[in-house]
Amino acid sequence: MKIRHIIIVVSLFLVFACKTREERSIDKLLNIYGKNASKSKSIIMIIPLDGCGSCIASSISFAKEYSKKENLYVVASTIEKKKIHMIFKDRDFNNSNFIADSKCISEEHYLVGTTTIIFFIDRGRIMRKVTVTDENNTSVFEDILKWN
Amino acid sequence: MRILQFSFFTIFFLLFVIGCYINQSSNDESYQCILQPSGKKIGFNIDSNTIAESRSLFSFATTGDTQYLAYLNEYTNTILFYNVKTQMLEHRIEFTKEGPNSTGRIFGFRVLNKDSIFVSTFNGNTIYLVNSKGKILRNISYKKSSKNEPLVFSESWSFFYSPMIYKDKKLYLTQTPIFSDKICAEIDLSTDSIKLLPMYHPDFNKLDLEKNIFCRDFDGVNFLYSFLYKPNIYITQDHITFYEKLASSKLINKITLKTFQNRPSFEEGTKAFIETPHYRSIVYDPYRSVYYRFAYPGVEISKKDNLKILAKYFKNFSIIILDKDFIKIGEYFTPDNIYNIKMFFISKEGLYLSSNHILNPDYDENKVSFELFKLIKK
Repeated sequence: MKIRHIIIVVSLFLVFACKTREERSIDKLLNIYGKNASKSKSIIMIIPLDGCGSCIASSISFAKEYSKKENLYVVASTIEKKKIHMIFKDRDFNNSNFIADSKCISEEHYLVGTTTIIFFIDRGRIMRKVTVTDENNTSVFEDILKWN
Repeated sequence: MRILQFSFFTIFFLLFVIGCYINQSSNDESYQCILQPSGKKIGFNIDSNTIAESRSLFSFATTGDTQYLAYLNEYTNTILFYNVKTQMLEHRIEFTKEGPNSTGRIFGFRVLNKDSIFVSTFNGNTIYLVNSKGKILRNISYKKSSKNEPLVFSESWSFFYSPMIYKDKKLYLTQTPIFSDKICAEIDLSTDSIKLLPMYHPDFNKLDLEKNIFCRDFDGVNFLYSFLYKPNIYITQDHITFYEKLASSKLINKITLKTFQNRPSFEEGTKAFIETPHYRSIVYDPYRSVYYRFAYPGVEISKKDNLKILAKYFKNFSIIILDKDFIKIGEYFTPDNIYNIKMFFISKEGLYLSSNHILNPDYDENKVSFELFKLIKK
């Protein structure tokens, strides 16, 4: 009886401790580019630069304006390195929280489609996932600034 | 025992030889024409603010017979004009997005001559006629037809070939079916009347609008439509009556669309897109009186494949050649990962097909490169 209880407890622990596929993908993305989002609360903003131009415009502006925000990781995803340099200048590249995802790891792992996706992370777990649209971008960007 | 071994060996050898022969002959049908890479390569240098892929590029010739390639840089809202012969940048028009004489963001364009260029902008469904300095000469708004039917924004792209057509003081804009199944709007520039023409999409899909997109060109008399999943092309002169002609690829037998019970995830959608064959641009070659239709055969995805590259650059494709009566007279199959299905233009010399494929060993992100293909009659 006791063994059965232990098995159940351990199983439940493993189930809840296991990261989701998206969480593992985010870990992999950060690892590949030598980043470590060890802050208790962090934000991963993935911008598909080959996606819908007008849909990602507000995210690009926000990412540039708040490139110094400590717990904000901006991932610019496209195969074409030149495009990343064109849109984000060297100033943004030098930011340690900026990821030029020219290997398209985020898209390989389906973390992003044609519009910006934002993950609100707390101690490695995804608390909230938002697709940025013209309708919600203002409120989502406000939430990012509050996520400390 | 030895005889048995010898027999097996002989059978395998014969199968191997027959297999090789069949494989080779599939590229060697008795077509009348072949498209042959000529070995001539040209490249246009681009600056640090231009990427080596454009959704809108068109060639045109001046009255002095100089050929130009007009190339839209969407990031700077600029059209670059390259001399094809010298490969030098000769002229540029930069469009402003705000302020007086602003056009907003340019999506596509059509050059009539250097001083008359129609540019397509999302700015309230507006087409601007501009001169060589970018000065707006006229603006044409087409939100609704004269009968108050809603109209769709028409990009006038080349990568999915659908330029606006100018004929007899009328503009013909493609209409991707959204509000209705109609596919073309006609704007009479002398009266400002706008009509949604009767011809309709043969496979109008109300549930999945992306499947309704199509390509179109005009040969001076006929409008030619190439729908994504249709082996036939559709030909019309008036958008009232039309007829079909088979223009299928040897690589595409039957197109079966993947169906999903719920809205597919991005992953499912991407995989389905890569695996499903489809037809793309149809382009008229006025120098040789033939038509080229581009076909993507779909590919099987293996674990080591980069889906992003497969979805954006396409591994391979074919170019179907049709004669003036729309009879198939040839088909060229590209090698893997060399050419870019989205960028090409026609010149007096032949078809220039871009070699800006990211897996092409010669790929240079600072150059827009093309290879000349000659049409050779057997």
